[in-house]
Amino acid sequence: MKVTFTLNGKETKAEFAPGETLFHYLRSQEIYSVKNGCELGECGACTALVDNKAQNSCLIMMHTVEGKKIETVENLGSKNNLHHLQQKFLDEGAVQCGYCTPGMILASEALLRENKQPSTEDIRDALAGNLCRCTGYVKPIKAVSHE
Amino acid sequence: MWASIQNIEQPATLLEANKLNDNKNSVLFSGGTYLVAQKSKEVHTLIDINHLIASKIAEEGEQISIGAGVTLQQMEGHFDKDVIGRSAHQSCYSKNIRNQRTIGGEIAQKSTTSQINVLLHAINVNLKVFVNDRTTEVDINSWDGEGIISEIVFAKDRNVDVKGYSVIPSAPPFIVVGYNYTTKMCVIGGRTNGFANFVVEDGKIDEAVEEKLAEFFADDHHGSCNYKRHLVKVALRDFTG
Amino acid sequence: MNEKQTTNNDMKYVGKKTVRVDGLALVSGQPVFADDLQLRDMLHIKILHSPHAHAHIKSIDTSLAAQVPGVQLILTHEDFETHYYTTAGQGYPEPSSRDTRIFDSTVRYVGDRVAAVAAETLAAAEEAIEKIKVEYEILEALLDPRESLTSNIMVHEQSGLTMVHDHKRNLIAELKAELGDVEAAMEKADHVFEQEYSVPFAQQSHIEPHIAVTWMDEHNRLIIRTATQVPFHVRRIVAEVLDFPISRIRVIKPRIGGGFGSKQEILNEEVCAAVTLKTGQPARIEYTREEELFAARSRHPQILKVRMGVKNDGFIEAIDLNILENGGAYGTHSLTVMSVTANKALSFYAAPNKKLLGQAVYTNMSVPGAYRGYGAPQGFFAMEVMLDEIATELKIDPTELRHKNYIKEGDDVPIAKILGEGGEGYPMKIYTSGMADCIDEGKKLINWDELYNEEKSGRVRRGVGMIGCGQGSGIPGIDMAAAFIKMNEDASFNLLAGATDIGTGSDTMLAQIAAEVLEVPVEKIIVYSSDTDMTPFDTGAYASSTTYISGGAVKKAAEKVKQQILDMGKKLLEVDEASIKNGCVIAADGNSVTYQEICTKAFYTHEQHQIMANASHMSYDSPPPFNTTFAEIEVDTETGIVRVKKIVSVSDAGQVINPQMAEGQVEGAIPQSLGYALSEYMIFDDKGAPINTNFFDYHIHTAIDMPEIVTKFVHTDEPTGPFGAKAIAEIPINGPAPAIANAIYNACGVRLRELPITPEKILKGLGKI
Repeated sequence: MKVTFTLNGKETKAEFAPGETLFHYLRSQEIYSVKNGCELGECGACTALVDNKAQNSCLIMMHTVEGKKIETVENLGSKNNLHHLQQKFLDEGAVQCGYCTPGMILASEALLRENKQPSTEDIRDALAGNLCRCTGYVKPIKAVSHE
Repeated sequence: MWASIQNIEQPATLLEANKLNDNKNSVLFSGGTYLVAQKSKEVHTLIDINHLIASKIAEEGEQISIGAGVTLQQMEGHFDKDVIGRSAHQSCYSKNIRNQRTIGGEIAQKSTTSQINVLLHAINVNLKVFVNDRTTEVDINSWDGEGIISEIVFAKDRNVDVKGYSVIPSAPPFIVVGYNYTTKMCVIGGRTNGFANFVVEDGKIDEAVEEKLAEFFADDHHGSCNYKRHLVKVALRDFTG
Repeated sequence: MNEKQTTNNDMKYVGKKTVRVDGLALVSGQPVFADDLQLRDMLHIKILHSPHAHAHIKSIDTSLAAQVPGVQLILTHEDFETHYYTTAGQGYPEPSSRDTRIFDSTVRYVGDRVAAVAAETLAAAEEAIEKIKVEYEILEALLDPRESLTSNIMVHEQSGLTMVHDHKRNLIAELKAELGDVEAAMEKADHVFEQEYSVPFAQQSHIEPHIAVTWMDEHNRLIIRTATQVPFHVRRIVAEVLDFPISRIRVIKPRIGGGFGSKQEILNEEVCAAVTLKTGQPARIEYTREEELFAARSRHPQILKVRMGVKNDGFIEAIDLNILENGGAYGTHSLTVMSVTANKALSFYAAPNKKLLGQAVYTNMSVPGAYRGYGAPQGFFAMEVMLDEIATELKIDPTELRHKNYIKEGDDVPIAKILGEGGEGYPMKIYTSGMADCIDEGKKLINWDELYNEEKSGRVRRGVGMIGCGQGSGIPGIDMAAAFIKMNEDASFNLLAGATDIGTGSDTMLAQIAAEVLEVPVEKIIVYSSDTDMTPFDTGAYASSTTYISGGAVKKAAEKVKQQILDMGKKLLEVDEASIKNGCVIAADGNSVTYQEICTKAFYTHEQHQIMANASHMSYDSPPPFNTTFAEIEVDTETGIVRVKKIVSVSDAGQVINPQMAEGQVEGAIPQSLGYALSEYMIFDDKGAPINTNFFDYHIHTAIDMPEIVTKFVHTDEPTGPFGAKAIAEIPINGPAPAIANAIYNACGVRLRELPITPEKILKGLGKI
């Protein structure tokens, strides 16, 4: 099957098997920032932005991304030019093992795109779908709060 | 990866979708999380009906209609502080997933831990369901599970509430109690096998209901049947004061 | 005992906030984890797990499975000679039972390994697994540890096991110890308290599953890239199990997505390596979340009977501890977890008379292993709830009771000598303790005096509870770490460390230590860890050892390098005396030579050599960090539901090397223990099968579940630690669960001695149901 969509700002044509998920597709394209934590939609390690909203890419069938705008953390910033949220996560010590970090940054970015001044409750709510076992969420919440 | 899926159909009409769905290795697909429940099954054909169902909320006069493709997050946004918005929010801890789970999916999967689903049962909303070759309207408590839900319809004027009980806020509630102040109908969900509903006068449970609940609740790690019945009584007391 | 080290009070890098050295790669999503690579012709491995808690495999028919297109290899017990080893990633000889085969003809728990399939696609491997036909002779399963010693079911019938106390009685390990005369002291005590406590199976729940990738390199050596806490133990144990030379194995530890003890295990590496050795092809094995929750490792459940003899004034005279530990189907970590329970629980209070009987037993249940805290959370749950009971009974404030009884600076810890890592230990003395400050700070931060004593009324009741605890800093006499540092001509340094950063930030912390010694900015330290070909040995990331042991090695190596720089500088300046300042060697007359010049000249023109040094470090001391944890909770007395409002965690970790990362360790440990108290426990059906094998049913804390967290450190200067440091990784996980239990008592008078705390237990305690 074939689909056309925008991936990290580039128009992309993808060929895929019918059962393929966006998560698998992204990793097959060497976009490794999306991670496997459960493949059941419970952990958020595979978070991607779909038309500016954070979603779990392991639950997104490839054929449904037709015409959509898909973003991963690679679209926010690069090693040479970090996005301000990436920098904030570093500065606040919000990164420990880093496995859930790209997903958390994307969930935070989705929140900030719809709400420039989120309350702490808004941030907790936006991050709740991104399970983290290292930080207790204290510093990630702080990293987003300072925005 | 859902390796068993060999093809994806995108039928032009609900009629066509229903026909395709007669095949035992097929499943209807809208949203995404529905697949999780199907993952262990041998599904060969996915019938995508996303494009056939509405994903808008409309309010006309005294009536509200919600397209089956509306996500929980859309409901939360639209109804905001209202009990509908609050219960849509509390139906799933993950905003990522609330962006993906649809109200039609909640109902079709008979999700008992979904607070919004329990609430809709307490309201006793009408469902527009496409069965065989036409759309019919049926109330949610009478729906037999056949057909494709396209819309949820209910009156603006409603007096309902819902409470969920869980060990930590994000955990799916082991008991959900919905209550309709007008009809006095109480609906019970949670980590249960289906819904229980009954009418409660003066916030008190009579013996028949006690017995019904005794059969309905199992003893498990969430608590004994006795404890769960206690919780229902506490909830009703809280609702009725 | 280590020589006393001097501590520099105006340190530039130690004790300061430093951005993680691996942070840039992590926030930008670089391919740094084990699974972030694609290899040509890679085979995907799936495991067939036993559906039965106890059964003999009568036959395995793999013929249908082998016909699935893409299947390359199927492995069962028929493919391997009988060889018993332990999956515990511990030092050698391992103090764990050698009772495990790579594949066995008997399965001993639901989840036990029956077969493995390697196929060209994951889907083919999954399909083939379904097509393996196994005929089982189902045996009666032993599912209650209280019955293990007398049951006629034997979990391990076979002979040839070692490090098993008595397999006929299902007794994995037994520990006995006595200090003083406990019975005489109980006789004399004004009060004797006796209670039973119990704690369940709980899961580490790192977000990155177990993942290993193996391949043969261009020199026909076996490369294992794996999510592990113990790369050197992986190399040794894989070599042993597959009878393959260590010289031909290289284990690479990339970035790790959390471990918490679960990856201190050789869980799947040996199967992955076997596939690569047999096929010559790269292979990959990754556990699903479901597999993580029933076929990986967990925390050992224990039943703890505690008896304490106490004087009227609250001084504890005698402690009698009896542990029954559920070791599950295999004895990995069973003995040592139990000895840590005993060692930590019995060494925190200074009572002169102590007695222990510990028994770890087999059951046909999931296999527990290492999990952050390693026995201490179990022990402190029992001890600290009992202390609260004593405080209540004797009407002494719980904080005061701790003040009276905790072990003090200068005290000897005789029990440490008796209870070592599975055998006799080493003498121990408390050189530093900030416990008094920990208690007093915590009291202030939680508003103890007001909240503890306030009138409790109404439906929703507020309560506060507290605990005190200790841990260790590495395993004395066993843990060893080595580091190697070499200098480059721009005055940067490669630090090659065996220490295993599993997300803890140890690479950054080690860079800070090296930077402090060498007097260069942290950016000048290029850290590489850990890789069995490239870095020197380290026992691994466990037992809170990295700062204390690996940090000690880095400090020594850096000091040697610094001496070499100074010596070379003096030669270039042609002086006998000089000092180091601002990246230069400076003579008394003011002449100086820069680090860059020194290294460049050493490379190319003067007495040509590489400035470099290595060092190893071990310690017979394991100075305990100390901690108090305070909890504020609310109980709904109609529903029994508890909500935690605030946790205050105050720690004495000596000189903290990186305050921000140390806080992060505490903040991450707290929700793990909140879960242990309220929501995280494995549930088994009546046939021994775990039920809650996904995150929908196994509830770890999310951002919306977290209470307010207050983290604080009190300063001490540990003479045996690098720059005065002690450990921090494990200790903060001990406190929240018992503090919550104590706070519930304070709120509503219900005493809970069993985890998990469920709403129904509280309502029963209140007499409402």
